[in-house]
Amino acid sequence: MTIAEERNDLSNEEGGHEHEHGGPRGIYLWLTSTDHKVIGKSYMYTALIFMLIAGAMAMLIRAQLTGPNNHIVSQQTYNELFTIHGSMMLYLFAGPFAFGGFANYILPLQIGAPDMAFPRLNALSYWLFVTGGITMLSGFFTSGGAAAFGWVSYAPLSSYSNAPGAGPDLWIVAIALTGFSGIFTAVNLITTAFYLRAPGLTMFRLPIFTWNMIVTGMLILIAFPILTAAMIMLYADRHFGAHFFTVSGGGSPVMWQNLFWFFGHPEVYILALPYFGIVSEVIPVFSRKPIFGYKGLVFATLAIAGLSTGVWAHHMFTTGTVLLPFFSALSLLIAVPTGVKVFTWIATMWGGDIEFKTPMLFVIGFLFTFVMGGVTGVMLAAPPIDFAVHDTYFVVAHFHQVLAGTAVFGGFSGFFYWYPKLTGRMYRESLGKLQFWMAFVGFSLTFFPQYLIGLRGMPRRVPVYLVSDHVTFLNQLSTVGAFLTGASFIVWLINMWISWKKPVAAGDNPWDGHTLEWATSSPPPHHNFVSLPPIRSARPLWDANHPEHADYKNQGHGSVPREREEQK
Amino acid sequence: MSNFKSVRERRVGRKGLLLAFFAVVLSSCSSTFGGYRGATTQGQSEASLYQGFMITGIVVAGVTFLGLFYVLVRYRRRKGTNRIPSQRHSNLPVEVIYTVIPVLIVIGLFVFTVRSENKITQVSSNPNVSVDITAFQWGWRFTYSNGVSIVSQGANYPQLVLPANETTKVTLVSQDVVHGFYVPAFNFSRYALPGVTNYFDLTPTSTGTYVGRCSALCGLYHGEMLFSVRVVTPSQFQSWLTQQKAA
Amino acid sequence: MGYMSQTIVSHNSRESEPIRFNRPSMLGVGTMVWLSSELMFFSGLFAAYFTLRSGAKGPWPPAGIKLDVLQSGIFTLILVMSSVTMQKAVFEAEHGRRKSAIWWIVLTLTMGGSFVANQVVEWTHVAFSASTNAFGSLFFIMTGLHGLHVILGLVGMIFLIGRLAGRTDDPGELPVIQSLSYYWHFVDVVWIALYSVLFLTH
Ligand code: HEA
Ligand code: HEA
Ligand code: CUA
Ligand SMILES: [Cu+2]
Repeated sequence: MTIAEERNDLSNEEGGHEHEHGGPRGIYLWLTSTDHKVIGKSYMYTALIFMLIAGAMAMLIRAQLTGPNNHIVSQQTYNELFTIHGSMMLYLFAGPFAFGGFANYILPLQIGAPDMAFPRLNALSYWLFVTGGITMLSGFFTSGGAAAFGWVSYAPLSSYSNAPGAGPDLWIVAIALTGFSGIFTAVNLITTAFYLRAPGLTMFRLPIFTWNMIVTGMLILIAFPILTAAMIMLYADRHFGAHFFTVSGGGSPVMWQNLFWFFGHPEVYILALPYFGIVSEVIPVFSRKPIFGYKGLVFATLAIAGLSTGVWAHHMFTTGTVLLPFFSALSLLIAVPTGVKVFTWIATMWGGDIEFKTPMLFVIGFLFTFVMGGVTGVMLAAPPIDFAVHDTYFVVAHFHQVLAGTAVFGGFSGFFYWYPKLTGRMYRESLGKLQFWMAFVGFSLTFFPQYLIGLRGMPRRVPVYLVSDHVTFLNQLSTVGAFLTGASFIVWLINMWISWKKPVAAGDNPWDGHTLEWATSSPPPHHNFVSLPPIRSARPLWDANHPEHADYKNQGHGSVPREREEQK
Repeated sequence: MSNFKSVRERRVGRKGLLLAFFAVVLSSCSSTFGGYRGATTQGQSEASLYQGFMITGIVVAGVTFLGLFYVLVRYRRRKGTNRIPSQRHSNLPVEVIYTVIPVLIVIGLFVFTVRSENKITQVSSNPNVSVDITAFQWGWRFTYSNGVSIVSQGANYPQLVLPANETTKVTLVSQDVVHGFYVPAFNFSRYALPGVTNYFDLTPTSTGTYVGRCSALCGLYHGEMLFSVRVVTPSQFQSWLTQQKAA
Repeated sequence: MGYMSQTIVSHNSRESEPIRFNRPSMLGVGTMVWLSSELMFFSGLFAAYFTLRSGAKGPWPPAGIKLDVLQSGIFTLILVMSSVTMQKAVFEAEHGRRKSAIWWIVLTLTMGGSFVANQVVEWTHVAFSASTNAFGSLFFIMTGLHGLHVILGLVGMIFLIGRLAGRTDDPGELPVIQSLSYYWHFVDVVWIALYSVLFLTH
């Protein structure tokens, strides 16, 4: 049997830490653990802490902007704040939270594997990520301050003469470290998904979450190395007098933008796809239906990944150096597969039995916020419109809606959905719902006014504006929203604290889940499974728990449209 | 009950949508949706494109949210029930429809985009006026073809003077880092890049004074790299230019 | 749990299975996946090369840049040949001839080492530096990063020799030697591309 051989391989890789059975205890075992569940959890909590820190920076940004000429922070500090806020949110929160956290924890469980393919490499990824995060933050403690050239670090603003000091160097090193961390995780996840699937789990029976993680991994392998290469060139320019981005020596500043966005645009889908995956798990379970149009969803994911490597210059429309119609057309086209996903999710709920538990509420917040941000993204994809609002708060509003929609609403949906599995405990439903409503109202109040602010011509990355811009009131609204959002995270912290102090056992499968992670105990044992249900469809656990409604009896398109009242 | 039982209901829904659509279209033809009307011919072309996108966006988001809202209300779990709904997991016609319609919308959007874009990016070979604009940390230099030059000085924001209803060709360069020449009321911005020369036309349509600013992060005083644009009649412009030359 | 279940084969079972050559090992799959990212990494460098080359105002490479095409060509040949010796080592190892495999790896190591040595000589002898102009920057960054990869491969070979010389029942050593050979071939192919754009454009 092939599976035996694979498992053999795995045990070799792991060598001698059978002593870890029963889960590691104590700080030493945590530090040395190679269990994907421990690493996954560490990733998640670390990323969330980075999110809180970056969010606190956003609070300072918003405070500064409540008046046209505030002096809450200095101009230099302001520039450092948004640079590190953006960099942390993207590199240290949104990416690692999903791809390091959820993927690590959930993917092996969903495919019935005992661990990742390369557990030690996995631990290395995590520690690279932590080191990168600390490195980035340490910039604030250097004499020149942290990097202050925006998360995009445009040359030649990022050259040594324009950005002297150690802060920018620490930023470069931090990005490189988190980049390697992401690449290693991608290698690990892809190999795991191809090699360690349980018998019967064919590619087209993989949960959509797993599919999205595979595709995200591929995008990481395509995009991150380009960033690493660009960072090395930037570092060489700064310290070895190289001329990659300096005009005088035959270099090209615009080349930085091309290299950066060739990474940067796929990056935004690297941040979005994992959360699409989470949503694709939560919706079916809370609607008690299979995902609608499974194959369509898989192909849409692949199409998004494919298209996203060819649209980078829509961030450079106003440079006058790129082929406008080509990049515009491809950017507009991405709306199609993304739309397929949105409609698929709605169709999944259609005819279902929808239960509004906290994870599902966050999904609805995700759908609303993401579609709003997506539609304004389509506007930005038209060069003439981009000429009018490029580098204004219109763009800031667009990307916060798509990012907060995915990473915050999608992310917390997944967090509450899998929290019982991770900890064996239940969170408090009422606090979860309170958090959702505060975050939802808060986010909307923060970012809807920013569209108008942008349309009235307020550029981004400025600490001051004019009274005559007529944006003061809108900015104040935005700030109120931001603080409401901030408060919602305090509710979350309280929820976690209560559930930790007064645990309520969750049970192995509290949601009547469909996929294999629910087929083991909560939290799962060291090597995940004692036994697996037979896998005959994409929803093995549903099949096992609802034999009359099993998917493998229902392979034709849309047969068995019977409903039945069932008393449990 | 099957899950797609409500063919009739869906018809009603569609009629409602159609009504909503027309309401939106009618009420919005005059609205600029928070954007500027555009004080140049180029900017006006942008404004109408933006209007079209905005209407499309409202319709697309509206239809999506209506569908979402309907599903959430109609198929919410009711208290005390525990039913297993139909396990239907695909429906090819539906899937084709929700793929093809967005494709068509996108093609339409693209056609209008290209038309507008060509108008806006067109550079005339014999403009009425030519200005060289140089961006630097943190100010601007406007140089007219007769040698008149206006530069930022300390806290004084420089003013770019343009004739109305005539085409001015701008040549834009940067002296140091990336800057952005941005006039919100013109619905237009363009980067000033080191090592690259950019050209564009501005054809203001109405006189007045407008705020201009640097849009690309360029260092410490990026937020204060302002200028203004004053659009005057062509004759006023000529006399201003000769006056400056004399001074 | 109330369902029929399939028991997982214990991950500790170590019954030896016949070695199969047709299916890459897990380590091999992982290596290939990782090499795809390496491919993108070098693509980024090549993208920079072609961008700067197409934007160059004068001749390419700029006046004053002189490289010893012949000498580097010889060592290019040596590096390419080392791919062959590496593959020979893999074949030997696959047929259980570990001693012979070790010697083939030692040969590969020597060839790779001589390539690195030549590069060091070259770096110290060229009349330009990374700060001379864009070509200089490209030359040092591209050859430098490639050289780093070669060195990494050599270090890997040293460890591999140690492993082959050790326990005879080591089940992991075949995947390791195969994976290292994928890597080595990759590094070779990249060099051929580098040699053509950096040296053969004169
Ligand atoms: C999660 C991250 C994420 C996602 C998913 C997206 C999604 C999209 N983005 Fe966004 N974007 C960012 C993150 C993201 N973006 C960031 C961070 C920036 C700024 C970077 C910086 O400068 O700092 C940015 C900037 C940005 C720009 C540059 C703006 C500028 O700097 O001037 C553009 C321009 O084209 C753009 C376009 C798009 C498009 C077309 C989509 C599409 O993928 C959206 C598709 C989705 C929908 C359209 C909604 C659902 C679909 C339907 C309901 C179907 C029917 C719809 C139609 C037919 C219209 N984005
Ligand atoms: C996932 C990505 C993400 C997320 C979630 C956010 C979240 C937020 N962002 Fe951010 N933002 C970016 C990504 C993100 N941002 C990026 C990429 C940029 C561009 C950077 C650049 O220009 O280079 C940017 C820029 C940016 C700007 C523009 C700055 C400028 O251009 O001048 C603004 C202004 O309002 C802003 C605001 C906010 C606010 C109010 C939130 C809020 O939603 C945040 C809410 C969260 C909290 C408030 C946490 C609360 C914490 C506590 C209550 C406890 C504190 C405890 C401890 C410290 C332990 N962001
Ligand atoms: Cu100049 Cu911003
Ligand atoms: Cu993009």
